[in-house]
Amino acid sequence: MSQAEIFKDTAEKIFAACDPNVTGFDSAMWSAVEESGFDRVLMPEDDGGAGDAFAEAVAVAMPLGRQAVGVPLVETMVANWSLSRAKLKVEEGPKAFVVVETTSGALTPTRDVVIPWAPTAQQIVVLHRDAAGRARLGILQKGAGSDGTSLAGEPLSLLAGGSELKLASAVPFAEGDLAFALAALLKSAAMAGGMATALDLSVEYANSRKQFGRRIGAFQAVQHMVVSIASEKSAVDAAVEFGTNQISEQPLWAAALAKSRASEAAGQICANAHQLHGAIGFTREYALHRVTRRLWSWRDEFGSENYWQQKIGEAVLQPGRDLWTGIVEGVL
Amino acid sequence: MYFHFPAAPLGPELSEVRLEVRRFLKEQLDRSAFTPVTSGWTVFNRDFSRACGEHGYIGMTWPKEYGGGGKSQLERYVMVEEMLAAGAPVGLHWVADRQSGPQIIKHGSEILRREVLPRIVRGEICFAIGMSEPDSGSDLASIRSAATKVDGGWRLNGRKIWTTNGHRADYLIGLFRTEPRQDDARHKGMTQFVVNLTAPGITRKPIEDLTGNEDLSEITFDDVFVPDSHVMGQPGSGWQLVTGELAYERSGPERFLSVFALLQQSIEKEARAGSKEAAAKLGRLVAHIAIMRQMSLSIAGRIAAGEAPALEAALVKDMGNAHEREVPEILRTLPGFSPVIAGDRVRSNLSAATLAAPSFTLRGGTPEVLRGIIARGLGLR
Repeated sequence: MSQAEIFKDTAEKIFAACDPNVTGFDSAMWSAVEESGFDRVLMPEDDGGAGDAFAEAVAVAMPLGRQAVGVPLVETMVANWSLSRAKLKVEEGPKAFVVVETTSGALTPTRDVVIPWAPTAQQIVVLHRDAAGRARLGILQKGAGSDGTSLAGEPLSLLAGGSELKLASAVPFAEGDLAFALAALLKSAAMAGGMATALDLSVEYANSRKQFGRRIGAFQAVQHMVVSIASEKSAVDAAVEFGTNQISEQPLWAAALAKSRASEAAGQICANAHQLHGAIGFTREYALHRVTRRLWSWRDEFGSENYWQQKIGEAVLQPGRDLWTGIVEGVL
Repeated sequence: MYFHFPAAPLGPELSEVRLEVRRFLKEQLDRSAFTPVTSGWTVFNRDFSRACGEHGYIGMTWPKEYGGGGKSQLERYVMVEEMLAAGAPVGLHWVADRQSGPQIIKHGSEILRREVLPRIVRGEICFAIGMSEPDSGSDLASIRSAATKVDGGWRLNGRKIWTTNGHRADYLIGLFRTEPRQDDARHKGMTQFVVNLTAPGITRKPIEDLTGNEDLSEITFDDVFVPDSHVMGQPGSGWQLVTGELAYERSGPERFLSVFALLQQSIEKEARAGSKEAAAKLGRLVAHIAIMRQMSLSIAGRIAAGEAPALEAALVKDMGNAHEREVPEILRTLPGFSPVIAGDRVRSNLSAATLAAPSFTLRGGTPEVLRGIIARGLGLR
């Protein structure tokens, strides 16, 4: 067993104990996460981490999404890694991590900024760029903006556009691209986990529910819905696997493939899974919404499919680029 | 986990093959041996196939005793993807290299191997696939063309249709009934034969397709004699053989690279125009190709390791064909791209791809059939 497989195994066991009735922040699961050290897995070994353990972090994010656990683990893993790389203090507890894109360099975003988990976070870690395009890392003071929840009922803050963000400390951060890419890749891995649950539930339901005297899975139209889910999910799995292998070498290319594919697949997978389940899938009691509501939220976090597709497209549209070389060697 | 796409092990020998093939393609382009086209794997070019043969690009993985190169599946994969991405006209040897040769190595007699394999490797002979019949398309087990045993061989009677290159090919691997069809055992009693298409009793007629090309054909068999040495495997085992052969046909990069040359030319055209308007649409297609390539490489890696990932192959073919159909549909909406057959190379290639698109989801198994196979793999039915 590789170290990543051991992490996956452990995470699966821990997250399987998740209480499906908890909404919002799951404090029992967060205690379990801290006890296991998953939140620190990317940090140096001296700080209780496994040192840039990117594959291990992916291995933990997948089961997190599979069980739809309400904790900011992806955000905290990336925040802790970034803080420790930037030599900023890493406090205990859950964190929010947000990438703010501004054009001027001043920290006054023109559009609204959504910060998932801000209300429950010990620290809100902000990655942004200065006027010269250099990445900076800072801590946002708590309480800014208005509180709300994501589609999945997870707490967040919404900061109106046009107002300046006040950072407690902000330092130059050489690894901004990698931090953003890591967040996008880990979110994609969590989405792949959620998609696995949507597929499992769909196969099980198609094979048990009977209508017109037959299991609905015997109807070709229903089979094709399940196949579409499996097929989209397989593409996401492959993109996440590729992203995991490439994240150190080509972080933005790795993230662009994983997150653009995961975000694109989410809509179709959720629509098909719900259609196939009929009314039962629309009830609060049935488990499907636990993953579909998260997929609908997560697809827009750390770059929607359109964001990453645009990045890839702009790169291949640079004059003199050879597309085939780009496909083989990466375009970002 | 229903399907599995582990990353393929890519060694340094693959970069060497890639550079070598790129050099070869550049040489060929420099002396105008071909112009990059869409669906190059259906384009017939005798000189180009011979040049491929001379450079060892046909039968790369086959045993050396039959003229093969003894290379790995992944080395062949790299050669194939470079040829397809460049839009090279590999149609003459394509079917023989991809499936007929490997099928003959696996199930053919020694006489047959010595008769055909060295000539395939030299790029001299073309193979066709004799599956569809006038009344049997997706439902292949319903074929009626039949073979009866005679002294020293078999006599074939019946008709095959929609056969790609049937009128140009030298040989055909055809599926024939060798026992009457039983309703409760439809897949029994069929046999694959390797038929020399110059044999007496064969009539061939090209069929013009909607693009105006004559690549398809109809072949009539009237008491055609085939010697016992040209029977594949055991008589009656045709169904197992044909499904094995379809697995070769479904796993390759041709299923998502048919229109790659068109996409490349289109992106170059957009870049020259300095437009970023379509960046997200084009970026999406690029991401899809890059990911399907990883999936396809994964399958090649598993085949190289002795596995038979037939379900994954069906899944990637279905996905690839959907992509190929989508590419011309998206490109035509870009300003300055509407498909017309005129001087502009991009517009002409877009026209060709638009007209050829219906065939993408027919050849090698329709999405409806493939999704049925995948559904069974998921445990449905």
